[in-house]
Amino acid sequence: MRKSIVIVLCAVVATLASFVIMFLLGRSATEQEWMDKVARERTPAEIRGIMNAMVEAPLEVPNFVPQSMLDDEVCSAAVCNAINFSVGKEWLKCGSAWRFPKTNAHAIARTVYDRSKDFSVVTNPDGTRRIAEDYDRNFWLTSILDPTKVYVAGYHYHDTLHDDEILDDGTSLNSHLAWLLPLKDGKRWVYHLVHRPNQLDENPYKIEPVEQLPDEFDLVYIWELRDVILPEVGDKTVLFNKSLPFSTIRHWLNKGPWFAEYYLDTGLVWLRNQFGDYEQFPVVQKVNGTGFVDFGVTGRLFHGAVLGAYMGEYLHVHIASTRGLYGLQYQCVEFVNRDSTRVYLATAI
Amino acid sequence: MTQTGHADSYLWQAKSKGLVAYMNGGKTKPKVHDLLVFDSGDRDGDPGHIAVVISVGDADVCFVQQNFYRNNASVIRDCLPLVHRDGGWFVTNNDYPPVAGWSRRGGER
Repeated sequence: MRKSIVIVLCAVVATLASFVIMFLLGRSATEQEWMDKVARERTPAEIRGIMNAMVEAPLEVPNFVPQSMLDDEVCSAAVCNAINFSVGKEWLKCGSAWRFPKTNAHAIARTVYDRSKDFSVVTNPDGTRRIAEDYDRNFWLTSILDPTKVYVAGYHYHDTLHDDEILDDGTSLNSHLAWLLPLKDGKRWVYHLVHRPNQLDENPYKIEPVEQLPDEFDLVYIWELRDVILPEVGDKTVLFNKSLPFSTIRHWLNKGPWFAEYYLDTGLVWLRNQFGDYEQFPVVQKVNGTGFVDFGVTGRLFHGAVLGAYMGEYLHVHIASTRGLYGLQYQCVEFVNRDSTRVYLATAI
Repeated sequence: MTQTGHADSYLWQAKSKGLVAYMNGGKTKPKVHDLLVFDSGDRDGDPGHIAVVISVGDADVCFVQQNFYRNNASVIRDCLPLVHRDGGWFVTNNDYPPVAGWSRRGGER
């Protein structure tokens, strides 16, 4: 009996120890990768290059938070980390979205748009409060924004559960943050995090036109960040993931009880990434000469994994045959069709 | 653009796609942006392979491609020898299927 207890105890201790080791290795690897990729301040041309590359993003939108957090509601960290990564320093502080103007007062030059007066506070029958939009107004972002500046937008999400907290805090009314990216195809694009219900495999990190944001998001503020003056033309850059797609990683997340989730997810994501040449944060690479970039991806790969780029068009791994917009995805003809479309559009303009 | 035909159709049916075909060994040297088509013949029953030319030197032609593997690893950029012989330009295929020719986009000559 005593022997059995000892064996069980040993097994429990060994299991716990292996999880602790996995967590420590995972945390260390994550911190090291971040420090390697945010090792120096980037030049304005490099920042512009990254922002341009964001709107030319490949199928899998990059994330700038550790993969252990991909299933979490961290819209503020998503934006702050993305900007910190792009400028190459720990500049913005990540906290609650509604505290953004306070925690990042050092980085904000001015509020260029404020329609907080279009909102009022409504008291629910149960005594809780909610922030409601009284007046919806049209506006033109191009008349507000200077293309040489960096902006963060504060949105209020209709169904947020944080209105009481937001009102108690009293800093601002927004429950959501988005990073305003450059124009493309005549549209203003944003980078942000939205977990859409019932679409579990869908990458929650989005790069989408402002006008395509769901109606539940009301723009309240736009803040202009200080010190960064972007050139009109940035470095020719590609930004790509050497990461497993979200649909795969998500199965390694949200494990264990809430108090252990962070530790388990960090360790498990690290473990999963050992089975291939995978990284957590995007890779930035300049494009020179012929316009070809080899991302140097090795190891086990998945259908659609990005291997390189030519003139901004990505070269992918082909494994399965799925019909796409340009032919059977990632076959040789599919790339030729994408590249021909690029050539056609470039010569047609 | 979802169904545009097999790779070899970009040479054998080039005209219908708005392309101009040049056979391997012909008088026209490949150019950057040309589509390099690998195939044994119009009626060989093989879909062939296709790549985009990214540089042309005196002795080689380099290209980018999807879905070509060597030793179980994807090869997305490669170069093949280019020879000028008896008035014709020849691209040798090494471990690729035979180079049937190259197609020029946008009617460029």
